[in-house]
Amino acid sequence: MLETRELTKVYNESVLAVNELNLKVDDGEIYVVLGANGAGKSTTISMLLNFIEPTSGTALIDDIEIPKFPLEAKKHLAYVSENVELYRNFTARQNLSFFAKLGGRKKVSNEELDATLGRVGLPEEAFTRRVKTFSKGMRQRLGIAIAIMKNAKAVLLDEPTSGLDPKGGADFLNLLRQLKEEGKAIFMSTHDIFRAKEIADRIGILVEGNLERELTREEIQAEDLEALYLNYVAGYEPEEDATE
Amino acid sequence: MLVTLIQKEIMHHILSVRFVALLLMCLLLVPITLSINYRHYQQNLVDYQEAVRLANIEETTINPQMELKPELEVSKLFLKPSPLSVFANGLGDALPSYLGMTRNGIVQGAPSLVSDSLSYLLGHLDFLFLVGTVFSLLALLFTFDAVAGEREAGTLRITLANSLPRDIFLWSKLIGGYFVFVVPFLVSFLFGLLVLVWQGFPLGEPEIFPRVLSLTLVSLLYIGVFFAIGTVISTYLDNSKTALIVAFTVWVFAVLITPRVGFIAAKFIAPTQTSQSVYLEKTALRENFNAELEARKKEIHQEFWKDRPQSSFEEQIAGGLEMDKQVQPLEEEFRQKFKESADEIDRRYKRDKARQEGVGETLSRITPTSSLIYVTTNLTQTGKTKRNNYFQAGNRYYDALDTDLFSKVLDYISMRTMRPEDTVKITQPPSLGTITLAETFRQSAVDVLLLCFFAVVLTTVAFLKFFRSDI
Repeated sequence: MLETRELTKVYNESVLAVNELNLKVDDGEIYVVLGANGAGKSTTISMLLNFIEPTSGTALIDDIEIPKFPLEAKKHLAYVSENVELYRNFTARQNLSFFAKLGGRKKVSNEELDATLGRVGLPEEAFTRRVKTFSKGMRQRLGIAIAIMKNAKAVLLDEPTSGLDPKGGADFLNLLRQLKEEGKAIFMSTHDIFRAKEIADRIGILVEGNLERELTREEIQAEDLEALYLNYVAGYEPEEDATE
Repeated sequence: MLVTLIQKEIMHHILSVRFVALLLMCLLLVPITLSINYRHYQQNLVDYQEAVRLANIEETTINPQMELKPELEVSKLFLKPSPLSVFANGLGDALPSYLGMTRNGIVQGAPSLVSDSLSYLLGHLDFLFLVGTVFSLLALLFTFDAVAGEREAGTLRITLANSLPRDIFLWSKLIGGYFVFVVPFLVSFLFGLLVLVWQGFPLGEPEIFPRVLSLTLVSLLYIGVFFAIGTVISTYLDNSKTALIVAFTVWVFAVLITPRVGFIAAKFIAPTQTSQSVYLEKTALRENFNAELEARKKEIHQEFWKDRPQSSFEEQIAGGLEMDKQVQPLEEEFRQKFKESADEIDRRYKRDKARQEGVGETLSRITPTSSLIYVTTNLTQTGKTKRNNYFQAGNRYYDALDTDLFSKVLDYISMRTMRPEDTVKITQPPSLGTITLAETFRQSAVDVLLLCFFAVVLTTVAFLKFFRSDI
């Protein structure tokens, strides 16, 4: 289980990026945090991965305090970034093999690598192709393959569907569903309301570092998420506008 | 974990275009440069041997009773080229080809760059230039994006999302990059040495091999310093293009500008006379003394012949010899006075020159390139130590000639009688003393320590910055 307790980040003693964030992501749950640019989504993920130190509060993975024991905590965390560039001169297999070893795997066979690459939907001919020839969608799949190979308890995804075409986006969400079924706690940041609605078990709306609202699966289905989101993000109220 | 990262780093570099550039530079430039410079050395050696042979054919004895013009070069101390000059030409072409011994002092033969001045204008291509200029730039090209490039590509975040200490990551960058860089460098250097040996270079000699080995180690240390500089730049910047521009700017200042600025600044801080003006000053001094001496001698002459206006020929000869005896102490007095004044001019000039050079040397050490040049040229015996040794040998030789010959020359005598027994053999030029490797390192200790200091401090700065920066 992934958890944040009063997690706060203030940059340069003046810019409040995340304010006393409290949230929990259970195993086998997909938690999507929605927010505009600069809402604090990436900062939250950076704190969860100890890329930046929180100003106050803490984050935990399976009761391991991430800021205090980052190396131990990161054994249980996998990460997929917005723009998975990877090592452009390496093949997909070489990239996956390298990151699998970094993730703690001592020996990885080509069969296992190929199986994982196949599982994320990469065509076989791409396994030995250099990543610099890959499309963004293919690189994102490879990013997911890296996360799968690590077999971590929680997967953090920072706007992973941005720039993907509809098919690529749909395939990507299917992969997330598979990870969810395996019992992974998935924490994903995005500003793509439609994909969030499609995949999320819970949604948190982050506005200027504050978690303004949390919605359950039922609430997500029941409410007009777009209107709600716009209301929080920009103070925009479409219904009132329509009546005027 | 470290091994995995280093393997990745090596692979990452090997697959890059810059590795191809490095390989080409190494395999083409190093052996060719060494080979060409060895031919240059052989040519210089032949010139030296020919010059010494010609000098030996000339007069080897001299009679102090004969008239000896003050500007006549009685003997010459030639500069023997060092076989190690194939690695660093250093001051080789700028030092006087010989030191000529005259009664006025030491005159300097034209350096070889005078006859080859146009190529001097374009600079000398040797191993020191390759390491100091070309490989330092390549080292920066290998490291400017070590962290910035990974940050930009997002691989830094994916990598550090694993249970990986940051120091291990940075060490892998330094070790892996350095290894990939150094292997082609060493292989090409080894190949270059084989070419040299094939051409007849005495690599196995005990005076040569340890110095070549030391030269290699110092070069590796210098490349390490530039790896550290590149890594520092890379840790401070997020964008690899900006890092490249900053790295190139740092290289321009560290390698091309600062070493020269040090000596330009020294000329303003501690100005001196030129050697030519010192020589002219001494010549003028001698003329003044001569004029004064001439006037005194005239007085003595008039006084002496006042009472014997019309003496016989025999009396005139006897009188002349008598007058010479009276003049001799006066001449000795003036000779001594001139020597003291000339020595004072020399001392003042040398003191000012040494001070200026010291200031320039110290200022230039702000950059590791200067330290590399000082250490390397000391190791190859083509630098400051060799120059000092050469001039000291010249001074010693001059003193010996002064005692044996110049002090016995009589300028103003009524009659010169040449007796064979007065003839003296001109003292042969001394050989330049060799400096041991231990002594070379003792003299280069500051520069070696500075290179170590740069490497350690810059690496520490890179680590501290990387530890503290947000990913």
